[in-house]
Amino acid sequence: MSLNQILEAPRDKQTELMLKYGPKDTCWAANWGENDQPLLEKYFIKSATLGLEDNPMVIEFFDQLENKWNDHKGVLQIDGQTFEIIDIAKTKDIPTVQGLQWCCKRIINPGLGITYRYHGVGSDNREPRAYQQRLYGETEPRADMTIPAKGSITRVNQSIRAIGIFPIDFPTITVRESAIFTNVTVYTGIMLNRQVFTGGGAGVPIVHTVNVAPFTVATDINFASVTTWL
Amino acid sequence: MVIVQDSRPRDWAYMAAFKEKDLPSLEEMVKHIRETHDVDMIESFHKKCEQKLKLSGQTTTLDNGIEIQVVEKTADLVVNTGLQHCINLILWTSGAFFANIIASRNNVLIPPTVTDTALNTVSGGPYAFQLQTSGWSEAKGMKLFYATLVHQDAVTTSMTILNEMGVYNGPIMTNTMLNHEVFFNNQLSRNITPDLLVFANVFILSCVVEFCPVA
Repeated sequence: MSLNQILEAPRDKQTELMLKYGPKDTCWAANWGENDQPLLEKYFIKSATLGLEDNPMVIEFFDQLENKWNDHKGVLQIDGQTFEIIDIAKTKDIPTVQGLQWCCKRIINPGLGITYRYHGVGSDNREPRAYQQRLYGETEPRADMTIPAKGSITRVNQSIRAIGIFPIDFPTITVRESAIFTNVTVYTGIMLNRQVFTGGGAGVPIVHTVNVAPFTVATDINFASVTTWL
Repeated sequence: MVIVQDSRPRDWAYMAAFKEKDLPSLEEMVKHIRETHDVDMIESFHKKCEQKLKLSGQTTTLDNGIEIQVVEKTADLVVNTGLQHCINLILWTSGAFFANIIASRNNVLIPPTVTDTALNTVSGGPYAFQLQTSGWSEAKGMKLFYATLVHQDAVTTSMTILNEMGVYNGPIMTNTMLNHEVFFNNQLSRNITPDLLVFANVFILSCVVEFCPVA
């Protein structure tokens, strides 16, 4: 497909509105070293002791992802040991209509029960749309971000920051799509957002091979992003 | 040239005045919305407010036959702490939902900022209204609706004019504010009736927070 065709690819009106006015959704998928799974787990177990709001270890994690994306080293430290991001991909996509509707319901009635806690990944690369309700090539299992060794879901300023740790024994996959869900079972639950790593500007999608190394998918949904053009 | 695009949720509010005799019907309408979650009635109310704004000289009545005397509108903002609290509610790290509208009277035009979480009370207030008894708080699609009735009781003459309001998660201004609205150049005022010593008008203060418009 030529650049012109890509730029002119028709989008539905709701997706346009979500991109223009909705919360800004950014996602990083990262491969870690083969011995890093215990360190990642330890990092987020420690992070869980620092609270669910403006957690400095979560902020540091996202800073290192961005460092790596900007061609610097992405290095974390826990208990005197350092570990480093090997590959990274980044994308900016969109929350879904159903996802934001569920957010509104929870703001009015926080006792509704289920909330967003699972990070899922898949291998389908069809473009994200605001009305989508599932990943199209999802691989199980989803990461339960409320279990410290499996990730983290917290608030940093006006953003939801969600991190899923996918262990070494996760099936082999090229991570082309990811999302946050309310339910653990694949193809069920309310999907808050859908992100697609298409290559090109979003970086080459990372490839995970079973029993080699863990990977993480980290999402920032900013409800008050400010963009300045000088 | 510097262009700044702030993509926080959009936020606007209406202040509508009704005759004091309409209070029982308005209370019935508000109670109906609260108990049945009739969000279509809220949207119809907002539509009528817009209609009255456009055709101010003409009579505009709500679906239950009550005439809107006059209405004003402002488009202000959701403050940072309000958005942060929204996320806390979404992630269930807090259960303190937005339960009050607080209003006040100010005499100096101070446009609100995203960090401005206290109403200006130079000339009166703050007056807290509990949404569970005198208003509504509902969600429809990607919108939040909050409103309250402001009764006719002349507790204090400063309630003749209300020109600032905000939704809070408690009855005092140290609670968390969701949004900050200022009606300064378009404020409504009401008189006290000489015989009954109550205000001749009741207000409905109603606001909308929209996370994304619908196509």
